[in-house]
Amino acid sequence: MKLLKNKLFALIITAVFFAHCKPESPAIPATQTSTVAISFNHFIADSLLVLNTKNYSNSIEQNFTVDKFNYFISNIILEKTDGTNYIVPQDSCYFLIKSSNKASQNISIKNIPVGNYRKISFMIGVDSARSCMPASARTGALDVGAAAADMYWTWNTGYIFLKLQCMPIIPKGGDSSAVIPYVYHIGGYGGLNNPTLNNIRLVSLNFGENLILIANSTTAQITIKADALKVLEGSTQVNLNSTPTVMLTPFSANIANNYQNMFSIINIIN
Amino acid sequence: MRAFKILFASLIFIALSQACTKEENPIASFKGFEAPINFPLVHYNFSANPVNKAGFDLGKKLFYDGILSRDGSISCGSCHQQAAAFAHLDHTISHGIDDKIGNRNAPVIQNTAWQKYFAWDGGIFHLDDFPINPITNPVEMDEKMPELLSKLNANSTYRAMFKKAFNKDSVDYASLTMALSQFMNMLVSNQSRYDEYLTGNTSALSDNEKVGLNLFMNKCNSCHTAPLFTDNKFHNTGLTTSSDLGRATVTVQDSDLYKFKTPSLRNVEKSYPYNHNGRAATLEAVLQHYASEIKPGTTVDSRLVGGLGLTALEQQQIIAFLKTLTDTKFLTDTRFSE
Repeated sequence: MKLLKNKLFALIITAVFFAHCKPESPAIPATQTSTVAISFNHFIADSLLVLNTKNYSNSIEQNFTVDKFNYFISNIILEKTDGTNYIVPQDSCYFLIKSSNKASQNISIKNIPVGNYRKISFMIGVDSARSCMPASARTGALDVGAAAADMYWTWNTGYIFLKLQCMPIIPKGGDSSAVIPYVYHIGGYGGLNNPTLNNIRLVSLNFGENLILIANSTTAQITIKADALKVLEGSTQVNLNSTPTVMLTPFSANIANNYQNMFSIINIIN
Repeated sequence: MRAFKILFASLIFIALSQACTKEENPIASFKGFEAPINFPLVHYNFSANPVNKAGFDLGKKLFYDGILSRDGSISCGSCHQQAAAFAHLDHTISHGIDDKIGNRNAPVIQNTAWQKYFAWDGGIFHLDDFPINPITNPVEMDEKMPELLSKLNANSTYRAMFKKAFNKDSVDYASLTMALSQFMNMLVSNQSRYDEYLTGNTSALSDNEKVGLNLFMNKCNSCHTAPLFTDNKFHNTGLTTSSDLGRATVTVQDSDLYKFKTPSLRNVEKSYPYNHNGRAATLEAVLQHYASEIKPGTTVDSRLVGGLGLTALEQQQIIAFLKTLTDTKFLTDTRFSE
């Protein structure tokens, strides 16, 4: 009996020790899982986006080149055909896609339970909870000392959700010093505790007939088109000359409403 | 047998406690952060970034090092000078890199652990996220954060100090800014004559200063709330409107137009000039404004409309009281000096 008590005592101490000191050990996955690879392909309408060198025009005949197109994707959710969701965990759900960085345009989501999926949803931007966390909880794609250095407002704590920077095309012999670039930096997560702009937008893309069939140890691929021209067109036509710069102003909500519709699915390969 | 069991249990316990302890032995002379008993609860989350000697020393070295700027010419201490309670002595607005001029007055740095907002418009709400603002501002230090981190990582002294303070092999943004917060959070000012008076030394203030204190409590304390002498909120105090929209710059709300953060009045005698743009050179000018120069406007604080009705004598008495908030020990504390 005494011996039993001793053992019990040691067991309790051990249990307390592990509960106190050890990080929670990951639960053993109950179901088998696999990976989905997602690629983001940048277009201007029907043409592939080529930075700096290729000329484009919008639907009101304004000509431009593109020198930057970056945006955050976060809080990805995959919906099964039975209506249940797989929510990508917080520690791996933030991605910064940059047109200048091919690697950033290919992301992969691991540990997805096997099954049939009919829809993907995600946020364009960074949610308010994460935006308000201290720097030590904003790492990886959100690290303002590295990847996110030019996607952050230092004067008004928060991420720039989407950046589109273009240049007008200067006619031969034109005055290049007078050129005003077109600069659209859109952010605003709704503020810590004051009313302000909330330009977080949610995107849902249905797979239609082409369900993703996730089987064990295979990788399904989703190819997504992101049409940068739709940042400036849609419910609001942005006139590049009369509105060359938009940052944190009420007008930015119009641009967020535009780019909410810039994504579409090109194809799905199981 | 029983004694043996107790001994055994104790040994296990000690071993486990040791295993659980991450921090090294504290250095006896360094007390870390201590909140004055008469101050409210701190706002800063010290459990996420407790002050230790290594972090404080690192934060202080960084604060006074021009390495934070693009060309090495400007440090935090360039515009935040101890003798002015870490404001910019006698500068309406500051000049940064290449002598470029900013657009607002450099504010004091003191009692940061109680501050909910930083910068005049409160665009920053976590102390750790403040330093990146002047570091990357093109008219202040004009550095890029990844480049600054590379410079620090290339410096063996800094690498060793970051290793000691945060046990990290390379310098990252979070550690950089946490070190600066450790230094700034130690800048506690609570040893003025007013504080001495509060602790029961009734002769610490003169009769004239006591009259000023009484007037202050009636006329000023609702925004400049003791003991920190700020309400941590934003107000339009009826200055001439300008291109600087104040709080509305960050909230994009008309109701916040021309509102600025209430500055603390501790050490106000030494942190001239005053207001967000340094427009008032003297305390006399500030009191004159509140007495009779409030400009009308839709967002002007209703308590100020029509002025505070202070006589010339009352203004002088309030100023006499404000000077009792000067904390010479803080302004000359060598722990904080360059």
